[in-house]
Amino acid sequence: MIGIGVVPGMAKAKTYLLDEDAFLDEKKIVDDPETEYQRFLAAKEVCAAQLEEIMKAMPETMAADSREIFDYQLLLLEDTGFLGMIRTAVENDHTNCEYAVTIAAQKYITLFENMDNDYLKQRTIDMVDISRRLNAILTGREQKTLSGIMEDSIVAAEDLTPSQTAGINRDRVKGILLERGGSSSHSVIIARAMDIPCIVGITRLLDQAVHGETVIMNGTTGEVTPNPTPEQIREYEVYAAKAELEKQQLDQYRKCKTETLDGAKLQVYANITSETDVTALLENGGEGVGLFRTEFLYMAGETLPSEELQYKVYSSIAKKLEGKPLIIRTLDAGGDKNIASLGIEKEENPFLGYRAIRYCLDHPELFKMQIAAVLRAGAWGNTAFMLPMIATIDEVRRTRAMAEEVQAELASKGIPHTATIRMGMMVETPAAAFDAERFAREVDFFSIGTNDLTQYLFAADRMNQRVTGLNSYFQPTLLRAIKHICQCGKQNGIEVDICGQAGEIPSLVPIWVAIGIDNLSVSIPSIPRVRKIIRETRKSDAEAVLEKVLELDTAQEVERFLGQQFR
Amino acid sequence: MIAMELKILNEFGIHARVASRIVRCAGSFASSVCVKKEGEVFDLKTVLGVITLNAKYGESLTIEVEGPDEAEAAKTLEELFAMKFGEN
Repeated sequence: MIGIGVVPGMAKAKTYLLDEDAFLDEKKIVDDPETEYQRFLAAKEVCAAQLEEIMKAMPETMAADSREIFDYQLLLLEDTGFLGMIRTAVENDHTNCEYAVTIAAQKYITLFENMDNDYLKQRTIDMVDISRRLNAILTGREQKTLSGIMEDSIVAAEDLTPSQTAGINRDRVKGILLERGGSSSHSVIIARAMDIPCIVGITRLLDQAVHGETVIMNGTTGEVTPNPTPEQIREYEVYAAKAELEKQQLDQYRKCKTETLDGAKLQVYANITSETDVTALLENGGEGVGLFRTEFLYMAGETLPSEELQYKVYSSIAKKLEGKPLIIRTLDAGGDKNIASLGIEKEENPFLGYRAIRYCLDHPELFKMQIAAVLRAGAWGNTAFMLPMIATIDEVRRTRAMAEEVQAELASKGIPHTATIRMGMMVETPAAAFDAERFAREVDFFSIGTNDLTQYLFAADRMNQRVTGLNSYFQPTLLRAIKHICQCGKQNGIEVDICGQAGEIPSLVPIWVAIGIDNLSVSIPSIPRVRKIIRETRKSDAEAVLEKVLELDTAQEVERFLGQQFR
Repeated sequence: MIAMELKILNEFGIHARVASRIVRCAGSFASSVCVKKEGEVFDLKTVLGVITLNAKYGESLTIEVEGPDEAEAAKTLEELFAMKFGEN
């Protein structure tokens, strides 16, 4: 089986099949519809009590988003349309209430699915969730959730509902396989937040997966191997042993300084998506947050995060970092990140469309909320803004003016906030790269977003498999562009970071050292590995290699040459 | 009966949280609260009625309020729409 790997990493465990089907309940004819309906009403009360219970058990920071989902489900239980349909089926057609619940839910699901509105399509999961819960109560069968899993498992399901993930047992759930689910679905966000390897879009998964059967999954390639052969198990064990050994060897690189053999100092930051990442970042020796992807705050909930919620999250992270930098990227909506609650229309070319700073500057109310939250969090630590998708000087100036306005408002209201507006920009459009010298005069730091910079530089969609060859970080054109950006930054006395995937590619790390990059912001597990490479690099040697690399013509030549130079 | 035209002012249209607020507000009155759109009637006292209305930012809705406390209900709803349902 194969699907789309959305959270990388390999896992081997027994399959835990979550194959509940809300629509299994058969139609039965009851003799006494009145008593039957009373049975439903009693189940409804139990259901409401369970939902209240789940909401109460949620940690506070998660609550604001996730609690809304259950609050909405509580209203579904009181919905006269939904209830009326169940009542009619029981009282007029004398059907059992399990069947009545199923039909009523199915009717709304069909209605939602036929609407031209992505947000409404996502609401089907709540109908499925509530009808399953009701039917579990009615039949007295146990509802399978991920909180009760006692042995190491790889969960296989069609998709996961909010109820199922609410108490997910992260120590036991080693991987998640889904038949449905896009990269921004509820289940994937949870998997990503908890760093559980995850594969979505596996065709006919539920027909093929067997509960209790051992399976190996690879969240990087999307491969699923049920009943692995001894040979495949050995391969996995080699991987697992290597991963474990590497982890041990890298232990010493968690705490030491980041400097080259000849004393050049850098810092290794990490990219985070939520507050829960900070503990792992500190454990791995991250020297700061080089990129906080705030869009996940916007994706996690059904609604937009308020200024208060954002302030709570940002300030809490800033405190935990104890003075280490926290670079907060302002909302980078659009492109491959569809945020349902923003209601951005589908576009022909989302990567070239209405996204990130373009959207934010057009929605000052929304943007100012985030700016205010960042400025307020600045009272608790070392925070900075980072603006995504900057293509014109004007965008930087308008944002700065807006930040100054917000700052004045906070001051007039006597709300504590930072007095300095530290504002950096992502360099990811060819316009910003080409004119880096001008941009460097406008901002406090550069952060090179190599993923987007590469796709825009080569005009090659990074989601399109057929042009992946163009999207290579070994393209000499890209390396020359990055060198140019870095030089422009240095000439203006600002720091230059890399926060894209290229920052952690082993054979490129010495190149970044040679180019003079100040900070590399990498994925959390890669922090010690990147630091190890830096500590084993001599900057003067790397500079000599860089000189030769910049003379090469093709990505293949660069990759081969670097492979020879740095093992 | 009171009929009024109200506009969706919050940028993100009617999502789950807004729907919950509308239902809780409309539900606190004895009067009926409905919207007629494209020949269909949507009951604003039920969350599925509000959600399936599929109302977007900037859209104007013709809301009909009818019952003993219709004046008060209409006034409260008008305020709720004007304050963007309490969203920032």
